[in-house]
Amino acid sequence: MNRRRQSLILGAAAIVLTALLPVSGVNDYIVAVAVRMLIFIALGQAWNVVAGIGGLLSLGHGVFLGLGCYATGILFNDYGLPPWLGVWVGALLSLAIALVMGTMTLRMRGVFFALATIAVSLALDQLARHYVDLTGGDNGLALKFLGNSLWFMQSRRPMPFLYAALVFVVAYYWITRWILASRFGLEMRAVRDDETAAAAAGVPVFRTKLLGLLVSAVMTSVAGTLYMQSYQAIDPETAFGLSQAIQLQLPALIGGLGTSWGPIVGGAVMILLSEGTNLGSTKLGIAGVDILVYGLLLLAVVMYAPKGIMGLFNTRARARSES
Amino acid sequence: MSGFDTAMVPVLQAVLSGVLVGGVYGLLSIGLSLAFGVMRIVNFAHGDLVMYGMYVGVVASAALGIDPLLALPASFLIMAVLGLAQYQFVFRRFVGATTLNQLLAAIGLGLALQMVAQLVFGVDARSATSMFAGSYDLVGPFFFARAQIVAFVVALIATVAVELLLRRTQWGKSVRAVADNIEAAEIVGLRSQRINLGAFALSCGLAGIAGTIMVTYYPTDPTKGFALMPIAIIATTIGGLGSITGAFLGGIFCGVVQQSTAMLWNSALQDVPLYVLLLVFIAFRPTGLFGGRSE
Amino acid sequence: MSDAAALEVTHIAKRFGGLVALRDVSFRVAEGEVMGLIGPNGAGKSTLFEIVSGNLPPSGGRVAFFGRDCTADPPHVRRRAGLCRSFQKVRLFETMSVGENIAVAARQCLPPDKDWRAEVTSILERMRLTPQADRLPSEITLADRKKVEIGRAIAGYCRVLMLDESLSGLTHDEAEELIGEILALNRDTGITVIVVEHVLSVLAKMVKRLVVLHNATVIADGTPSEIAHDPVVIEAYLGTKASVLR
Repeated sequence: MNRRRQSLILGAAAIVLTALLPVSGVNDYIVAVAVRMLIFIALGQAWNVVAGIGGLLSLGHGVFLGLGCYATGILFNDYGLPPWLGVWVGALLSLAIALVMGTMTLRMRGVFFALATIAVSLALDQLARHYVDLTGGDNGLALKFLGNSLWFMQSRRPMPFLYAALVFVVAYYWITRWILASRFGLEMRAVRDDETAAAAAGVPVFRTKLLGLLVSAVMTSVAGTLYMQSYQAIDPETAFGLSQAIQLQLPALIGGLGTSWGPIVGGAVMILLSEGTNLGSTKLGIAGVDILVYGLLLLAVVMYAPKGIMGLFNTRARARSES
Repeated sequence: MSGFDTAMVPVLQAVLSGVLVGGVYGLLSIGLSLAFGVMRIVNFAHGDLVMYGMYVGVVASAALGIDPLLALPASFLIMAVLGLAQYQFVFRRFVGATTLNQLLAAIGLGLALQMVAQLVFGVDARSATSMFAGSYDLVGPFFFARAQIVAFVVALIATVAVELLLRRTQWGKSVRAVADNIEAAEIVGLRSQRINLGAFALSCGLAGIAGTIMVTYYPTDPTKGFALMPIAIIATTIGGLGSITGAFLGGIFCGVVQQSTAMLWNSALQDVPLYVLLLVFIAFRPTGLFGGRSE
Repeated sequence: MSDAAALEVTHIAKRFGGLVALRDVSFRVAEGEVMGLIGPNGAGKSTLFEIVSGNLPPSGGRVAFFGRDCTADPPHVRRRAGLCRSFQKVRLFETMSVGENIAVAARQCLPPDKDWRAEVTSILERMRLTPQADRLPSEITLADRKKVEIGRAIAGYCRVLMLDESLSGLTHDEAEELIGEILALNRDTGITVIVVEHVLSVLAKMVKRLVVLHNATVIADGTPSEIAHDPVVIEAYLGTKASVLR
């Protein structure tokens, strides 16, 4: 009970501090970093549902991010459809792709699903590069900027996106909490731990995995729309490339897979590290150091702290409660 | 020559080129398949060792003036040693099951290897010239780059050699015993860790050979290794995860599909049918064309 | 009692490639019965077990559960219908507490008008696991792990419980206790119990009826004393009589 109150107070404090950021007089760069952090936390929360709670090895979640970005961007640029509507088209597309992918691969175990997610992101990458008229090809797609507008979700300054992203993070946090406490979450965790035993406990394994993938895909895609509106551009590498896929995985991995706080803590750490190394490498004049940092981070987390930061915290709490 | 025959020439040319290219895809894949078959490790860093193998060829030809083909043994040894290190430091703890953490560790390792290559060799594309560079053979109406023919032959020899090693030698038998049932193998006195170490080193050495032979006709840069992984993964799956000959034939299959797509449809989308095929295989024939392990 | 058996397997066959794992296996288990299925290693017990629980499709034959053909049903459907099992090597959800392990099954298999929390509490009490409810499976003894697995197997709704060598690895006292609890379960709730073991010694005092599997088929079916004196069984176990039958 005490820990619950602790996390509530911590959460409220974090929300208030973030919300007060724009009025505290910091420059737009800091606000933009905060936006980036919140967006990647939200994306991490979405990945955490399928991989953290469900244990499904999705290595190509960029697919759903990309579909969210491209769908809202293309519909807005070419048809003037506001992102408020475009977001649902992106979500439906993601749902459809996830359904096909999941139906084809989730009856098998583990590794095949992981390989399939990579294949789908590579296929979309080649298609996005080729159909230049629709997607802008290699150069990517830039949103037409029509001035600050709530209806078109556009703003020259990052402040509105800070609040939007904050809403996402809080909402996704509650979704995660709800899933963890629900029967569906219990099913997913059971399937993650042992598929055969889960079936022997009455859990419909295939349906549970598929549903987890669908929920996560829609969450990623919807957050993708926010990504698009905030960055105002997307390209095949950013959407479907490897380093993006890793950025979607790192928050939950660093923070703690399958926990409600993990992606939040991990996302914050990841963005701070990434901003830090970018600053450093610009000064040194070496490009792409953040990729190296991500690589080493990935390696370090999975080898030495597979339960992430929250894991260290929980082990200590458990040890304390038992002593 | 009749009109029909003339129309068929480009298609057949595409198929034959596909076989040649595909042989090397097969060589990329047999090492991957070996590591999976024996240890259930999907080594996403395999492609990065291929990339290092390519740089061995570059260094041999540019800095030492040696033909890359003569550097093949050195490449094999260097990558085998790198493989030993990888196994000891990273993969040792992931043997036996393909877990999320294992896949991510391999990706992290691959990224680190890629960055090191970038720091050492720079980001620009480099190539190496072998004695066969630039020469073409005309067979009837078809033409082939001689470097690719040589590469195909090397790939074929390597595949046959690995199969013979696994089937005919005592060491190969113990590797297969560990692959089948690690507990039973240990009960009869096999030291699984040492056998795994050897198999993993062999897998990485094969990546080295694949890279060095490839660089005789295909320029390299630090991202090349990762770019080659999807084809290797697809070839391995289609051939049947864990099967050596299967991976080689899967590679040829991928080469033919790819080249035919480029010829008949669009070279920018030459890999899309392969990705779709991967999904179809997973859904309907997860053991692959040649019956690997279904897990 | 209805004339439909709790479980009836008819002419079950299973081939793996050229290998015959089971041929023409048939038997019935009446409702409320405690039955033992024995046979040496490799006799086909595990294969049969997986076919009955739905993890392996048979090459031929059918499985009927209370008169209903369930040969094509996936494992979770059989479990929800009340056909429950344990595993030879205990398989718990290792990241979830003992209580959560049982809750998974309770929330799947309990009729919707019942409270799953009450069900978990009552299962924990029945299996004497209440003090361990918040522990992780890795923190409790093997005997308790087996009890958690049985608790998970019966939670929610259970009509037939199949136990796969649940007694192996336990000390004599632990095995005695577990047998007591299984028999109490059968007595109190009328759950039909099928116990698979490769040695008879532990089963003799537990079951009134034994089916013997050998070389992929049923070679005997009767009371423990009939089985012990059956010449076919003795022949099959030639030389190992002492270790198997006592």
